[in-house]
Amino acid sequence: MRDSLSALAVVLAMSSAAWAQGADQAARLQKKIEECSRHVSERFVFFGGGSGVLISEDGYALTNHHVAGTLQTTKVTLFNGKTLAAKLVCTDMLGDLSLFKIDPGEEKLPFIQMGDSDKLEMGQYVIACGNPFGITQRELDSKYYPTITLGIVSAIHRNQQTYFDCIQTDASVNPGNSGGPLVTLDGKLVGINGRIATRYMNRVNSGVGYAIPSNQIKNFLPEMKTGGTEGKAYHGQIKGLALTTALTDGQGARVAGVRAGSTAQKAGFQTGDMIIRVNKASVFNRERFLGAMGVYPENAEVTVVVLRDSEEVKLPVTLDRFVDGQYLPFNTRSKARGYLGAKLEEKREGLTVDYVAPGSPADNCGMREGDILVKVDGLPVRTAEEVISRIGEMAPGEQLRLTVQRGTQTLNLKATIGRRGEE
Amino acid sequence: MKPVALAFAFLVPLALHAQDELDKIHVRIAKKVAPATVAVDGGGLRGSGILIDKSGILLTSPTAVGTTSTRVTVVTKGSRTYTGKVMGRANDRELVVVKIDAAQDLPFVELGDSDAARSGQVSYVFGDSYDSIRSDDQAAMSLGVISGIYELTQRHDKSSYLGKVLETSAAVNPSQNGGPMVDREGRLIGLVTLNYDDSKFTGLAVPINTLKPLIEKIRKEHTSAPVVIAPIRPEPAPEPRKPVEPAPKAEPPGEAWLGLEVKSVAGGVEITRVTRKSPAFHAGLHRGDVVTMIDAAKITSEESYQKALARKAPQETIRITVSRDGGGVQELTVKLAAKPVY
Amino acid sequence: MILRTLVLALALGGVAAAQEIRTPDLVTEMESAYQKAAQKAAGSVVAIKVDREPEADRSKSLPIPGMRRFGGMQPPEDVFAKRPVAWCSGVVIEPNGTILTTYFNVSGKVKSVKVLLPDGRELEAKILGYHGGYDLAALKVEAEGLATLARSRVEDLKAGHPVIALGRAPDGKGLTVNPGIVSAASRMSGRGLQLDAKLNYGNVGGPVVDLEGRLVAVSCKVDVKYASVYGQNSGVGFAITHEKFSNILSDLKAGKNEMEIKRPLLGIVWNQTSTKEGVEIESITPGHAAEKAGIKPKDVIVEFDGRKLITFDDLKESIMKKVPGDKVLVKVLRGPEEMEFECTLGWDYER
Repeated sequence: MRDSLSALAVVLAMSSAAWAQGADQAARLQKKIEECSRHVSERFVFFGGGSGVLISEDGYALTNHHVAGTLQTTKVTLFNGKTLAAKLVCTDMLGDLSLFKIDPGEEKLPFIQMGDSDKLEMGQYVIACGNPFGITQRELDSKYYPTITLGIVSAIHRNQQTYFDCIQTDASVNPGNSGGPLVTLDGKLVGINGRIATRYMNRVNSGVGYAIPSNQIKNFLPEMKTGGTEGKAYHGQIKGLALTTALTDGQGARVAGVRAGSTAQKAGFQTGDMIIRVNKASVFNRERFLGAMGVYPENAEVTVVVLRDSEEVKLPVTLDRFVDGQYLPFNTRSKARGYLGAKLEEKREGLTVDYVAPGSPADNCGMREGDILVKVDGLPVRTAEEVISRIGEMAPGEQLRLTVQRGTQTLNLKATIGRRGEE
Repeated sequence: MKPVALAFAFLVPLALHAQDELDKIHVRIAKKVAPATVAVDGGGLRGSGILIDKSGILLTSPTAVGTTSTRVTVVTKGSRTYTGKVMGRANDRELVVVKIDAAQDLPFVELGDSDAARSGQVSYVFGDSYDSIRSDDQAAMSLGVISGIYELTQRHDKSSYLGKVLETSAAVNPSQNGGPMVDREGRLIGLVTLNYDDSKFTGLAVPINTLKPLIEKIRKEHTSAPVVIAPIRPEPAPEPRKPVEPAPKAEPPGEAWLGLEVKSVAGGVEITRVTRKSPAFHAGLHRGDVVTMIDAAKITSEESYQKALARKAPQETIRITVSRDGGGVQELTVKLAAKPVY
Repeated sequence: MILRTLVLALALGGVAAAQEIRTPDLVTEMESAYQKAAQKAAGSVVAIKVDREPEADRSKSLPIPGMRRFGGMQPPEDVFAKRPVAWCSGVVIEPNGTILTTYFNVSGKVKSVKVLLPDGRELEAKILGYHGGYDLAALKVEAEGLATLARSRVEDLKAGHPVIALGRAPDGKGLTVNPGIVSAASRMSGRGLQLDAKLNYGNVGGPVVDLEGRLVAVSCKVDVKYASVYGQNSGVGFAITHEKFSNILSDLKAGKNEMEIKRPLLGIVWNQTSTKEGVEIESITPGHAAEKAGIKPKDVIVEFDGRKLITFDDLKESIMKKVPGDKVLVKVLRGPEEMEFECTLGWDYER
């Protein structure tokens, strides 16, 4: 009897304590936000006109490739005002992620812990930390304060082309935030901010920011820390696999073809298979498959689950190096004989070069990501379609004149068309 | 002793879970409303919509599906596509009611009371944000408050709604028109409109109470043909088209830059600001200097100053004559630079 | 035994249920906090309408660094680069009718200014003075006993702190409420703070308050030039704290119009190539504080206002913490000799 009474007393005491605690939730939330803001500011890295974050006490730091990935060495500034040298360890051009090593000397740097981006839920609070519009200046206390903005997770597992599996947030993110951390209120890194969708053509936040998820970063870090392949990290894809582009009503991604002798065939894929899972990620359409695949580097071992005759079949596969990664039906590909190696996106600014395949004709002629393609052989172009069909008509070895706009410069490039490779 | 230990073992994780709840307090609304939000298209347009009944009745806007369409394509949670029938519409209040036939009950939201809405109340917006529904099977969510309640006095482009609006600080983006604005219980308090106020460019919604009687009428009276509710006031005269200026010639990249702000004064233009590190800065021009000539051109006003510089190119050298406080007249040579690019 | 377990289970179940009921309260708490703060402060938020000569359309001549020009396409006509026709916002600062708003809100060739008070009275207002560098202006209406806001503690501010930007709706009537957080507690060289609450032409000039409805700052820097770079509602917004605008309020009321910020000036040029610890002086600017106090070229400043100097940045920061007119003690080394000078800091415009 006494046991029960004492147990009851304990329970009542604890529950009234819990009740009292619950009464001022807004104040607790505020405290959490303020502490998280300070925590992430101390681990922030200023990379030139962009942002970055420390991920280890000996100075590994992440940023976007488009912020600093073309620099072999650079100088960075930390919250405490110190300017330190940083060396590029490895960069992922496609996934827009760069790993730098800062030399902290004897010091142990504060660093951010990795969170689990797959645990994020729509509606969850997140904080973005960055240097929008380069606003930060040295403050009167000699520190450099980055900008803190608060928002929620608007959507997860979004496929924004080369931001394969990104987090969408309404926390304010602007030019200058790129490369900076997106954290949950416990101060753990769930994303690296890098893209925004904007209205009115003036590159200013309107509530849609996209971040590379931490689980993708975790997949790439081991390879990147060793320097990748000559400083570059590559994404993976399954060669020889073609998917239908027709809607499947949310059932999955349907295999439209498997090339003989390819990785896809060796892994056991068959035409008609309905892909429903890649490791833990469930796949409901083609875009989601591309997105789920996009978080893995080349040589990663993944298990793809397909539905075949109403049965689930597990297909383990080791990924090839990403070349095209579009998994388009084969017949649409064979039409194009010529190969340039640039991925074009119709954006509001114009026909933008979104990706340049390393070693491709586009790469060799000096084309760069971010270039806006305005003319092909002296004639103005507007759609990706017309450029692809022009190149497709060409034979390997032929020359193509490309006029691009880079910032305020107009450049004339000459590409030697290559042969479209086997995927 | 054991029951006490049990109590601890139970309550400590519960307390920790409560902490986690703060971060995710809005997740419960996401779970309720996102699955009931749809992407729609019709009449050559696209946008969002919201299911209000488990049988498949949904609301959207003519700015998302067209003003005369009778069939509408609807994409629901699970990437399922349906062809919906228009049950009725009231174009001037930006309402279209659509019915889709699904094999099972669909998630939906309750209608709220927009008359009870007050500035400062939490408001959530859901919709197809840059294909979030069409490609990624999620109605993207944004968090904000009802930041204002007022009457709109201007119609923009493609919007047909004029009247009371609920303004929100939640992010609203293209393709979300026709989609839901909900309150803290997940009840529908407005439909997102394409219209916006010039001084703010913030997201706006048509209050649900304006639409409730129309929705009821449409649900009661619809037959195989859609119920078309006439506008409550005669179509306002279309705004006089602004005379279209011929597009100015595309300027060559890199216009010439001097780095001065000036204001007209007697005898020339007075420098009110010299931008740091600009050509003017390096040439030694100061605030207060009065520019009287540029090369051979006499400067008498801001216009003549702008004109004198307009045809210059970066790297060109110009002679600027200024008169300074204290009576001096000086001629300075300045090499123009290219306008700094952000 | 069974009874004991049952009682325990019920108690635990009750606690769990209590937790569940409690969790939606956070949103209710947030809402009532926003609404209470807004209600408390509403009485001091005014709407302002300005009648002015038509302004030159600057939208096409602006540098607009944020926008890119591309192959023949032009950006849409004056999307942000035009002042909208609508009421804008301001805040009552003194009960006898002194009102603060942004300089931009009342700039241009102004013919008349009207202020709509929360009690419904529409009064003519006079522009007392403005400061373009801070983007603030003071107005005066003939009224007595107007409600003003208590001031919040500026030292409490840190990144993550919740704030609310208040304003008046485009029709001058309803209150607009935009909550956000402090993005950085100190920006614009300590003059103000940065916040992520949505700021636009409609609400700048209005008060930024804390959750208790106390005045933190006045929002600013949404004008044609800034809007064309930062847009509106970008989540990057600025506000001048009450601590800082109090310094210039008397100047504004006295009709002193400035377009630029004054920074405190010692009047020395620093020898960048010197290897000595401290700040070696290359030359003394005639007519300014250092010369008047007796400091000479080649002197090495080792202490400024009690702070030991190692680098030039130390000196620069220490000067920036002061205000023109402040008296400071400056210690120098002239050769082997240590000397002390009292300097009265002058000013120069920030360029």
